[in-house]
Amino acid sequence: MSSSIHLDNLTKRYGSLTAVDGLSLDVAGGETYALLGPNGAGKTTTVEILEGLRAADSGTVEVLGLNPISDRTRLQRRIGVMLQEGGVYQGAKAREVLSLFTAYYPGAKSADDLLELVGLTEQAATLHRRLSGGEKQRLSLAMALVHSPELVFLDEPTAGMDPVARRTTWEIIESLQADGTTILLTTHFMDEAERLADRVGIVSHGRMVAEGSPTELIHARGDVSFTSSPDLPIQQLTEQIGIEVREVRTGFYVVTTDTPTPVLVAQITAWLAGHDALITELRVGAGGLEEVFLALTEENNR
Amino acid sequence: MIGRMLFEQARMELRLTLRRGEAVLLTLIVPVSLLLFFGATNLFDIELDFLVPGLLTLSVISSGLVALAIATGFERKYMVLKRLGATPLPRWVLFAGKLAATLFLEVLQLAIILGAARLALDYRPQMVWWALILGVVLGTCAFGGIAFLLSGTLRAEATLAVVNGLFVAFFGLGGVMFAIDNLPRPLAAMADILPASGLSETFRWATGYSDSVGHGLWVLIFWAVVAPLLAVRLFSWEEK
Repeated sequence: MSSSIHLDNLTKRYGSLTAVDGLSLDVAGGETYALLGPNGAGKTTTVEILEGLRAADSGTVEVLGLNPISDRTRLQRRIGVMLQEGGVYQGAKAREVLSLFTAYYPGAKSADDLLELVGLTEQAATLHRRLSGGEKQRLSLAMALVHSPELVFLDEPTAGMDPVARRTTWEIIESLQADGTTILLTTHFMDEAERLADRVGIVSHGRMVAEGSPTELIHARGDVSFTSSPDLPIQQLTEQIGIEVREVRTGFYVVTTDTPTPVLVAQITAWLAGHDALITELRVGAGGLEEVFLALTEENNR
Repeated sequence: MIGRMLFEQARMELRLTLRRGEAVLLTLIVPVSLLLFFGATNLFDIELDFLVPGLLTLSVISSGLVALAIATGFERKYMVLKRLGATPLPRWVLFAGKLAATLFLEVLQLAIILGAARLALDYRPQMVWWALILGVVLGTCAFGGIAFLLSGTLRAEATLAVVNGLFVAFFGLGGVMFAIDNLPRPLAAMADILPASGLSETFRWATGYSDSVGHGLWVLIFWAVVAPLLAVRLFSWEEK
């Protein structure tokens, strides 16, 4: 099957800053792919290049087999875009914005159906600037879905939403998946990626540091992680076990290894006992995507 | 498809402008208030036949420059222009929609000014209608070009400040209510090459105040060509 998105060795610089540094990825038709990474990792730049909003400095960019810059109009009829923020006339009412967008696409849904889809029927006559953050996000999502596009880009779709709105949004995304829509999303929420994505790419400093299904990523690592008192002198432990120990979050430590052994675990617990530090949690292997993410991005920062 | 896009785009632009109180005040209320005040009183001794075409110029500046630049600047700031770049809406239709809404507003302004002048002040000019239309079109190109040049290169807040400054400057130096000849010499020389004076001169010819148009028409044509060209070259879709 041909890829919906094909990126090969993409590079984008802003002055002396390299935002995207040789990134490659492929997204198959019907697949949901989540780009994860800290702020400034190059996620939004990558997405905006795919959307045709920015030009790449070098590398191959193909979206639905088209070049986003030279085939702009043809591509724009087939993709839906949700920007990370803004993008809507401040003084327009929710319904007016969607009505305007229906004029851009042949065979568009009706504005009322779209309002209902994202649960904004009651806000139809509310000015955009008076909508709450979560309502703005949902309107922005509706704007991406006006023409039932075959490929949708969602840049942090649930940022700023309360838990109920997040769940509603996830359900909308899941119904898109059920219809066979290809989705590229970026997010800071690991639960969102675990729930929605078929595959995840973790990006750091504009480079892909890991890629795979959430399950693969979680099981690929044999790290020993533990929670204990903050600010332990872990340099000593590193020297003792011969493997680097890092405090990736306050009181949360990771020992990066692919081959955890019973002896290693015993050494760690003994050392902690020697420092009168109580372990409140200890795990071998990553417990979730968040640990994988923190470990990988932190490693990449050094 | 293009026709419907253009219509909907222009309708949205016009609706948003008419929803902005300060835009309505500046475009629809200020010019006619000046007309009624200075037309009914003898303050500054301004002839009605001189005043009316000047206020037509002021109307075109208020909508074609001030209202348009502020709206576009803030749309750029709030990434509306960027978002529209990710739709099939051709860029030229976006700008054509803005200009169509501006022209519509200008026709409304001119009708109000000319109507109020006739009804309240018995203004009966010898109109050269095609010259009036020419003035409106060239004025919209000139001031619209400046509006896009500013809003597409400066931050929205800076655009707001600059266009308000230009409005005052054009009001004073653009032959709107005060003849350029009465200005001090160096100031008059500068005022002479402003798009506002070119438009005032064109409108004075179109309303029969002067028998012919001087080099003002050429000044206006110059701005109507150069400003849009510069805007097309320098406009960027996002604030840096």
